[in-house]
Amino acid sequence: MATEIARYDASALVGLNVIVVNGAKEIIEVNGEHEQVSYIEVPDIEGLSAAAALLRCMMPQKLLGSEIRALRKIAGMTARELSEAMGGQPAIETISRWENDHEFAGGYAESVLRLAICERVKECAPGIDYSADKVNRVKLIGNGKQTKAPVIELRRMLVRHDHRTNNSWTAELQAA
Amino acid sequence: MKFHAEQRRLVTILTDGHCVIRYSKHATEEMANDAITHADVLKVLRTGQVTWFEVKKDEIVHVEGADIDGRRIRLVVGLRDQLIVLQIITVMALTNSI
Repeated sequence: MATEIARYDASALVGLNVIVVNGAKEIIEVNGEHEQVSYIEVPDIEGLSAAAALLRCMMPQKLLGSEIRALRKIAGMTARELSEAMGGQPAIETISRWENDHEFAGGYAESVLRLAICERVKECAPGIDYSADKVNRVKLIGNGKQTKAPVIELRRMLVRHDHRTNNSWTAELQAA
Repeated sequence: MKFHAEQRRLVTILTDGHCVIRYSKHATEEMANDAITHADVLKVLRTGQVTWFEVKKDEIVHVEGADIDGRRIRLVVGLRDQLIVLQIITVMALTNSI
């Protein structure tokens, strides 16, 4: 039996604070006579993660350490690869300190990090209206010491990209 | 390599463009506890080794491998429906973050 979920919290799957709107299904299966097992099915989780990463990088709130780690993983990068993508600065140890909230990235470093991530994942999220210029123009607010990550709401919609129309993840506000 | 056929089957499923991955509620709870994300699970599925195979109601494989940061992770995966559905039954970190 499959049931569509109106709002599914996909934070555990993505690593960012993501709500999927009308895009997830709960499938309940019976194992044996009495035991029921519930599964969650979210289509194209890689695309969802990439879309969430792009949207988060265009939000003004400074990134939490856990979000930096999640973004790096979504981009499929080790700390060394992220350091290289940022031009060799900062050191791997510095990235580790950011991710563990032992140190906070400066504004310039965070902008460079956001761009490095976005350029790596943008092809996987054609439903997001992204440009490097938008990331560059973000005025960062907060100091990274906040404890709550902003919520990113995504829904699946038909999007035209490269002369094809496909289902892609789109920001809920864009979709409305 | 032990479980060579199961390893090949897993790769076939993953490279199929229509492969669907479902997570049990238990798996998502374990992932949240151990800070394991879908990106880590995919990395283990794609590069890990099948270490166990059994047939219960479904065919079950255990896959062990390293996540993006080198942490060892074990997945318990059910293979379903004409090779296109992977059901992640549980996920566990075998080593701490490095």
